[in-house]
Amino acid sequence: MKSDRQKLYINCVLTVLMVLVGIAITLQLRTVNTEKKENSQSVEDKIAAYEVRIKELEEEKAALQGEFDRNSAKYTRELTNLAGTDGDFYSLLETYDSTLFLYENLAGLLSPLYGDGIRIIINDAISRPDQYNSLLTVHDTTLLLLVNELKAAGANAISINGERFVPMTEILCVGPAVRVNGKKLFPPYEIDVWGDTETLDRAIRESAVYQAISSRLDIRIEKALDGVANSYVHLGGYNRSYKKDIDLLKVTETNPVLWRRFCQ
Amino acid sequence: MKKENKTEDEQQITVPLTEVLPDMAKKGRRKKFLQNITLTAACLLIGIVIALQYRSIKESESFSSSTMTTINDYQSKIISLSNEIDLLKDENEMLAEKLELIEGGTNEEQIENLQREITLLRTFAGLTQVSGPGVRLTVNFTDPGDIPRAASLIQMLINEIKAADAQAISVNGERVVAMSEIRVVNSYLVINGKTLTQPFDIQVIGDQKSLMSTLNMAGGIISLIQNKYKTEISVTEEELVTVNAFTGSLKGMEDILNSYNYELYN
Repeated sequence: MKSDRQKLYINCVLTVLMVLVGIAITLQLRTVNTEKKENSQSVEDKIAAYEVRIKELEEEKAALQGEFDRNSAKYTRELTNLAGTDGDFYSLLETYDSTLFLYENLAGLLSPLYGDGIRIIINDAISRPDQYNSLLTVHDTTLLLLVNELKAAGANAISINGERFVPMTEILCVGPAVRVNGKKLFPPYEIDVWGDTETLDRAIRESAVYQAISSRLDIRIEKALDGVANSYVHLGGYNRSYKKDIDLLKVTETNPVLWRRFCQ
Repeated sequence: MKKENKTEDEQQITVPLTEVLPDMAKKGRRKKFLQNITLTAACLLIGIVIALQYRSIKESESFSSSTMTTINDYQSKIISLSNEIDLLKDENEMLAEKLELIEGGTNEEQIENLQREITLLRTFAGLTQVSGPGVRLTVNFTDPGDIPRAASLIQMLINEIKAADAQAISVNGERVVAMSEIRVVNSYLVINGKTLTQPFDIQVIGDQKSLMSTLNMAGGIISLIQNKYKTEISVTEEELVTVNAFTGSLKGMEDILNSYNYELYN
């Protein structure tokens, strides 16, 4: 049998332990609550600041859009006047404007662009116990290889989730998304490709990358034919100011071959 | 007398025991009951506190994940609005220039302005030879038989260069444009349908700092290539890099030309 002293000793130890546990739990609760309060306060401040910034930007955009619409209408009026007073110069200006439009198209600055081609819809597969999750995810390299196959098959223009491919377009992994033209895109990825439908369809199905991923990822290829209702590819444009992307470039020579070809 | 005393003693002991024992048992049960109640209460309290703590942590987790989504959405919206504003500013600037010229400029000035815009677009599309600061990479595979196996890594290398804010790239003089493919056939690289042999000379115009840090990053694309294949890769900063104009077929451009029947002016 335990002696009274032993009992007292055990009770004392237990009491001290209980008090300590109580203090620890109280401290922990207080810390969590304080952190929560502080975090929620700073997050609320951040969100409020973002909301203010978004409002400011939306107002700035509306003002710029208004200015553009007014100047556009004025320019059209001036052009109409010019057509009446100096027909020859007006037709020359018109030709230059058309040229500008074509180059904007070629550079990928115009949207939307409709035409024949294919649309590839690719998404992460549902998790399966027999496969590593990494194999069931659409990676940046998967898209990079697919896009490269499309270019090699003679695509005229490509866009992913509305982001048009321009010369320096990158495809980079950013957590669960990919970065294209500096913009984060999330799956499912819709790759719209303008070009010969049959050639593109065959080339992509025969490619090594398609054969490697078709059995494990959720991938679908749709043929799009211009002129058939709701069946065309819809390419997005390059939604950034392109001038910033060429500010280091100094033109040293134009392309004489191209010049000859189009100006014969 | 002694016997009597003993008996008295025995009696003294026996009597209290028989009376005390049930009392002791009763006290012991009460003590045990009290002990049990205290323990139960303590356990219950600890349980409640742990449950509260768990709930509080879970709440804070779900709160932070939902707020992170909101913050991410707001950040994306700010970036996209800023891009749209930049674009509108550019368009307004161009339009204002056109308006000014049509209102007060000479015919020649108007044409010059349009030509300037066309040149900018041609430059962006890669149709002009350009020069500027940048870096130069030379890639040489010791065993040319490795080149077909390294095809995807070469594509990744060009992709990384683009991501490092490059403005113009050429490989062995062949300009990389929007629809340039990068293929490997045997031990040759094929870009814009042209066959290129090694060493691969990659000329890049762009921000030297970001290009150098991307290319020299530990565990980056260059070390990935070098760890897998025997290669000699050199990266040097150059004050003036010249990148050729694209000279291949314009593919879609001809389609547009045919459908619109437009004449192009340089």
